[in-house]
Amino acid sequence: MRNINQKVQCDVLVVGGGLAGCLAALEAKEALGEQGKVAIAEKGFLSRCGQSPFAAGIWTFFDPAQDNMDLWLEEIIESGEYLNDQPWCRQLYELGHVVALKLDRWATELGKEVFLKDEKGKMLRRKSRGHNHTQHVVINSLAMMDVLRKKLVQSGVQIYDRMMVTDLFQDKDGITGALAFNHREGKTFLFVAPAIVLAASGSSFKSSYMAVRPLTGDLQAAAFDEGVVLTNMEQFYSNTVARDFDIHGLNLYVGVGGRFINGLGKEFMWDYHPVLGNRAPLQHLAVAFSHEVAEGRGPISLDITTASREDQDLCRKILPESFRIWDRAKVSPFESAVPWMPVLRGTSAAGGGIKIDLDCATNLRGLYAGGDICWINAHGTYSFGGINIGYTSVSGYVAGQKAAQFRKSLGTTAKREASKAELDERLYRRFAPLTRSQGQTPEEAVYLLQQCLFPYDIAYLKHAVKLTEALAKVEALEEEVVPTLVARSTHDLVKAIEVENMVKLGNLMLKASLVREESRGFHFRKEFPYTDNENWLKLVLLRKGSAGEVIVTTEAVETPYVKPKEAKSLPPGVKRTS
Amino acid sequence: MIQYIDYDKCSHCGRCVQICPMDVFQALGSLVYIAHQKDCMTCYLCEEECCSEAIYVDPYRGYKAVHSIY
Repeated sequence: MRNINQKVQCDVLVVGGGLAGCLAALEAKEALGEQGKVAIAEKGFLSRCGQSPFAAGIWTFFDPAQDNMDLWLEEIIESGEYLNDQPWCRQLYELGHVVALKLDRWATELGKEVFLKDEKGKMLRRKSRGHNHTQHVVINSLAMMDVLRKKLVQSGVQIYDRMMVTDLFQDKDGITGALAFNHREGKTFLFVAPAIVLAASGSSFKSSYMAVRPLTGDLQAAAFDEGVVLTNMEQFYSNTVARDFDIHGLNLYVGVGGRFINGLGKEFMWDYHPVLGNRAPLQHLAVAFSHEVAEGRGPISLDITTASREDQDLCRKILPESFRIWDRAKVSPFESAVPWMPVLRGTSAAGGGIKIDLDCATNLRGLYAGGDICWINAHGTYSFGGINIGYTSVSGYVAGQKAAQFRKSLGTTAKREASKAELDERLYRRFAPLTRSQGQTPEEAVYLLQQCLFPYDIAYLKHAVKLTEALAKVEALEEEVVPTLVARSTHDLVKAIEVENMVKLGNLMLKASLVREESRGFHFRKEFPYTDNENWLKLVLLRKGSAGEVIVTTEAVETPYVKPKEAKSLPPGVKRTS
Repeated sequence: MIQYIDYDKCSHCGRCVQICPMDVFQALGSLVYIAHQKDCMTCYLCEEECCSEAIYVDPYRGYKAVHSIY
């Protein structure tokens, strides 16, 4: 029988060591002072973990000295198809530059260049996909992560690398802690903390995009199991990628003149988005590509052969990992068009996730969230490039401050931690794959799950019949495959637990897709091929009931700044012209 | 996917073991080896951080992929 090897008492625990998590931990530590105990647990190695090291460079940056808030709000809300949390959009703009300037100061102190600057030393601002008035700054993500790790060490935050957090605990007064294990050493940990910030990303279901394989939505699943509300799960957030290589960088590629071409040689996106064409937001791309293929005009290619020398050099500088792939494969995206496709990013970023308020609080007292693990409510469905990193930084920053504030408000607290019975039950369940002599491997299970979610007639051109079929298959995986998963080491145990979490989230995504009877964002229903602002300007909320059932409710979206212009309109991914 | 470590070049600094997001490498004393090749996600962080150019990562993915439109 497994026991807890080490108990860690802290004031604030942050789960996830990417941009959001690091900023949350730094803000919490600053707020709590020298006596404050802040711990950060990361499944990989903090500074080279998750998506943050590969953040392909752009961060929404509103400059109050020169930019018009009303125009910027209009742009993000219209692009986000009015599903946005509008006050959060304002907060994103108000704080984006504050966090960026703070990070820039740290970088300067440590002699690192995080933000690209012009010859005069001013941050470089540009526009790329989806931008009309709005702009972003450009970051060097590896330098950014190095700065954050150094600052964490300097400030006295305890870093726990190679630590997989599997479960959360609560009592009647709120969150009490988390169960974790170091997957290299096999040691189990109980983090006892009355305030926790979840910043551990969503699930990309091990899809074919640069560096997404660690992103499995572990803490979205764990939070859901504790009654935390998830929302926007029917939005299968998707980017686009090369068919043959797991690369990244679409924002930059379209920013330097990239064009999508169909099998007939036509630059087809102008039919789907007459204003932005190839620079259309991601939801337009994923659904439009699917329509092109479904109607016999595939395959799709990306052509960036017109990029200037200067722009080619910028791409190489910001996307070094992808260019190693291109160079090694002797393929240059600047010399010939490259086969291209939509790629599911699932519940990361603009997809489904934890619902938070302006203080980054969830509906579970003491539990906060920041970054991709949340539904990025400032996006709405998906607005434009730069919001992912901008929101990640602002929400991490706010979550850390608010978690610390909450902790301080508790004063000296009585001991509150999970009972032995609860710990025994969770440890037994989580470590069960190590005790099985035979069963399904996690890799096989992932492949089966992907077949239930990825095909375009389930993910992008949805219909109740196919969704119901896919849901039945995922439920069968949950009942028949997950309980047989086998692991031969704590390294493999990580994979087994990841599969269990992904199956859970896949189930919720399909259920939510059956609920929303309209088309908006990445969610296109063939039976309801229009956006219905009269009946569906709502969020679909999912919560686990006391008997383990999934409770579905809806919540109207408030529109204090910008209101929809039409009651019914054409959704993304549908032709506007022929 | 990662293919090999060239031990004629490897300085055994252990940086690859420290940083790999997918825990592909392990160390036995100062000897670094590829313990979980199939988990490699071709992110190239190890190649980028290797100070002695001892690591070779093939650009093609090493897993069976499910695509949306192919």
